[in-house]
Amino acid sequence: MKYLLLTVLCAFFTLHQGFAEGYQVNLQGQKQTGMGHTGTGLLLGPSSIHFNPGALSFLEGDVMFSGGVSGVISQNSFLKEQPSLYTGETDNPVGTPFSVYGAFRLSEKLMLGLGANSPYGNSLSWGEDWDGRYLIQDISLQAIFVQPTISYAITPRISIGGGPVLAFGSVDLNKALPLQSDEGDGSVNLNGSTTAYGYNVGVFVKVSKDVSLGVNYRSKVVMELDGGDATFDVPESFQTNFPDGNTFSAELPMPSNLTIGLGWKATDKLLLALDLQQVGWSEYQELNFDFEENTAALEDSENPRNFENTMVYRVGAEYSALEQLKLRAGIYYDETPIPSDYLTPETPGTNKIGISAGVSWQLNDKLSLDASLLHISGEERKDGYAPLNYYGTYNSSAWIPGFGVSWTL
Amino acid sequence: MIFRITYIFAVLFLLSSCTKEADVPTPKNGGADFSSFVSLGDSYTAGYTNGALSRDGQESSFASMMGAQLMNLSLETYSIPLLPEGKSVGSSLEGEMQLKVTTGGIQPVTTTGNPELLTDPSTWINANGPYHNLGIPGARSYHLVAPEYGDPNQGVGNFNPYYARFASVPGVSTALSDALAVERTFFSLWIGGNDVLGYALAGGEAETSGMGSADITPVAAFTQSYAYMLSQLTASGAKGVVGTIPAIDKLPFFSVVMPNMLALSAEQAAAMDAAYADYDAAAQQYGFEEMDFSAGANFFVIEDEANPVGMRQIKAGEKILLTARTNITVAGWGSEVPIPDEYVLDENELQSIEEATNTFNSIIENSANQFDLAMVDLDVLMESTQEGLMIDGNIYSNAYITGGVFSLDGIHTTGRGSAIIANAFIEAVNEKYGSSVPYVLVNDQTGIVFP
Repeated sequence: MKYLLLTVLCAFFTLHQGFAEGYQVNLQGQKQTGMGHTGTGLLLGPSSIHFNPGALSFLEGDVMFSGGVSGVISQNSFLKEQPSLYTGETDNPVGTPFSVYGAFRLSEKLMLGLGANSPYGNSLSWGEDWDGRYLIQDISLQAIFVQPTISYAITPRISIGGGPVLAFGSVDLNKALPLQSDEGDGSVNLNGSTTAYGYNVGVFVKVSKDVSLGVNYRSKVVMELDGGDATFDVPESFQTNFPDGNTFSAELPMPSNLTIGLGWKATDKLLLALDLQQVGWSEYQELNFDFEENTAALEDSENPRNFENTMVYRVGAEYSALEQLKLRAGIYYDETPIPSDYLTPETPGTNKIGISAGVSWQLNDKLSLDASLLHISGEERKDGYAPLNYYGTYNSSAWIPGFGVSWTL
Repeated sequence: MIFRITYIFAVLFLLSSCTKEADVPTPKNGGADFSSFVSLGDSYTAGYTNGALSRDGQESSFASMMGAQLMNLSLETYSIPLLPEGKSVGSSLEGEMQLKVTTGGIQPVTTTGNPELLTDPSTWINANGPYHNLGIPGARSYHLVAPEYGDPNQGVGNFNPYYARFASVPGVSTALSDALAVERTFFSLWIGGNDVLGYALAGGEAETSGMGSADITPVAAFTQSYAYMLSQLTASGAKGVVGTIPAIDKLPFFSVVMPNMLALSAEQAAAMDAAYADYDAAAQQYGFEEMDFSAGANFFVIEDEANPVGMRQIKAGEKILLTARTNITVAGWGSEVPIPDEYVLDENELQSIEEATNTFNSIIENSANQFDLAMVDLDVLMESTQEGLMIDGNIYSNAYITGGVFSLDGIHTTGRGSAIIANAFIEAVNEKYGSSVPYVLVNDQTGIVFP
C-alpha cells in the first residue's frame, strides 16, 4: 500500500502539468519550510514577522529569537529544440538564503519585532560558451528585506500586526553579444544595487480552541535600479560605440503575496496546516535596460516578460513525537507565472512541487534546534522565448537542506 | 517513529529520482540511408567565403556542415579537397578579404593569398581522392558534366583550376563522374546560381542565352545537364536533396549601393543642374526625362545605350554593383560621369535574370518531383533574411557586413550563413524522408569577424 502511494506520487510528479516560481524563495523559517512553507495560520515563533505579523502578539514568551540558513543546491538542464543533440547544464553556485527574527513583549497585548530575510533571489550559471549565451550566461539576483514589526491583540481571539519593509537588492548578470572578433563573442556585464520599500500586514484569528486562521498581505516591492554599471567587452573597432563608464537603469518587481492560512490541531500531537497563496507576478511585464549613453550600435534593451499571477497551494503537518522532538512534513504545488513563449534560460520556470521534512529538538525550555530538508522538482517544460527564438526542453530540481535555532525566554 | 522518518525520506528520495534531464533522442535515418554522402555544386557547396576559398571556409560550407551532422547517424567519412591550413585563393588569384581598421573606417581589405594553389599543379591533390565534397567555385549546371572544365590543357581561362586541383583525372573526370565513382547512398545537388550570376556580375552586358562566361545559360543546356545528373546520381537507388536558385539581386553585392545614394547639398545640386543643362535641353527637345537634382538624396547618373544621349538617372529598383562603390567616391561616378553599364543592372536586365531564375527553378522543381527528391526553396530563405531572421538570440539579415549572413564579398555566406542554409537542407531532408538529422548550431559558427 505504501509502495503504491510512492508510485502514485512519483507519477504525479513526472506527469502533472507544470510547476514554477519565478525568483521567489520559499525558505523564510526552518519550521515552516519543514511543513511545506505553511505558517500564515500558525504560531511557530517569531518567524511570524514574515509569515503573518498579526500572529506575533499571540506567541508565548516575552523575548524570542529564531534564525536559520539554507543551502540551495539547484540544477537546471536544457535540451535544444529538436532535432538537435545539444544539451546545456547549469553550474549554479550554492545559494544561502537566511532569515533572522527577534521579538519582545511590551505588554500582554503588544509585541515589537524585527526581521531580516531574503525572500527573493536567483542564481544561475549556464557558462560563458553555452548555446543560449546571447540570452544569458549567468545571473545573480539578491534581495534582503528588513522589517520592523508591531503586533497588537485587539481581543483575546483577534490580533493584527504589520510593518514597513526596507529592501536591499542587487543584480549582476553577464550575457554574450553577437559581435565576433578573433577572440570570439563580445559580452556585457550589468551590475548594480538599490533600495526599495514595501510593507507586510496580517491578521490572526483564534477561531476555536483547535482552529486558527491567518490572512497576510505582503506588498510588492519594486526595485528601481539607477546608475548600475554597464561594462562591455567588444571588438576593438566597436569600442567607440560602447563607451567606458556607461550606466543603466532598470526596474524589477518583487511581487505581492496574499496568503490565507489555516491551522488545525487535529489531535494533541498532530498539527495540520493549509496555506493558499496568491503571488502577484503580473507586475512583471518587462525587463528593460535603459542605457545612459546610447549609440548607433547600443540601443536600450527591451525584453517582454508577461508574467501572470499564480497560486501556491501548501499543506503541512507537525507531529509531536516526543516531548523534545517534533517531526514535520509538507508538500506544495507552485504554479509558474511564465506564459508560453516567454520562457527564458534566465528564469527557466515551470510548475513545481516542493516536498519537505523537518525536525525540531528541544534542548531545554529555552532553546531548540531546527532543521529542514526541501526538495523542489520542476515539471519538464518544452518551451522557449519567442522574441529571441530560443526553444528547448528545460528541467530543474533542487535539494535544500537548512538549519536554525529558536530561543524563547 | 523511526519508521515514519525512514518513510518520509524514502518518499523524498524516490521523488528526486523521478526528476531527470530530458533524454537526448537518437537521430533517425527514416526512409534514407546516410552512410555515404556526396555533395555536388558550386562555390556554396565548396565553402567559398570572403572572396576566396580557404580551409576554414571549406570546413564550414553548408555541405560540409551537413556531412558533419550526418556523422551523428551512419555516415562514416566525408572527405573535402582541403587547402593547406591558413591559405586562401580567390577566383582572380587574390586572397581572402578581412575587415581592417583603415583611414577610411572599418573596411574589407583583400589579402595577398596563395595563387600557387591554383596555378602550380604540384600543389594539387588529384591522387588523394575520392572526395565527397565536389563543390566547384564558379561552376554552372553544365560544367559539372563537362570533362574539359577540369582540363589544364585547355589553357588559362578556359578551364577551372578549382576543379582541376582535385579532379580524379583532370581533363577526363567530371564532378558528376567523381560523384558516381563513390558508392553513394545520399547526395546533395545545389547548382544553377552561376547560370544567372555570371550575367548579373557583368552588369548584364552579355547574352541572355549563351555559353559565354557572362551569359545566362541556355534553357536547353540547363535542362539537359540537370536531368542527366539526377538520372545518373539516383541510378544506384541513392536519395538526395536539391536546392533552388535564390533571387540573386537580393544579395548584398547588388543592394549595398542604393540607387538614390547620391547625397548632395543645395549648392552641389545647383551645380549638377548647371552641369547637365545641355542634357535637360536635349531631353525637352526629344521628349525624354530631364535630370532632377535637389538637396538630399538623389538618384545616380548611369550609362544607358537606349537613351538618345547615352545616359540617364537610375530608377528605384534598378541595381548598382558593389564594385562601383570606390569609383563613386573617388572618380565622380554617378555624378560627374555616369556609372558604366557593366556596373548597373537596369530594369530589362533584372527582368531577364528573374525570368531565367524562374525558368531554371521550375526545371529544378520538376526534376525533384520526377526523381522523388527533397527540395529546398532557397528563395524563401532569402526572403526571410530580407526581413530579418531571429535565430537563437541573434538577428540575421542580408545587410552587408552587419547582417551576418553574407561574408565580406557580398555574395557568399559566412559560417553562420552556411549553417542557416545547412539547416534549411536538413529540414527539407527530414521532412521528405522522415529522418531526424540534428540541426547545426548556428551560434557555434563564425560570422563576420571584426578587428
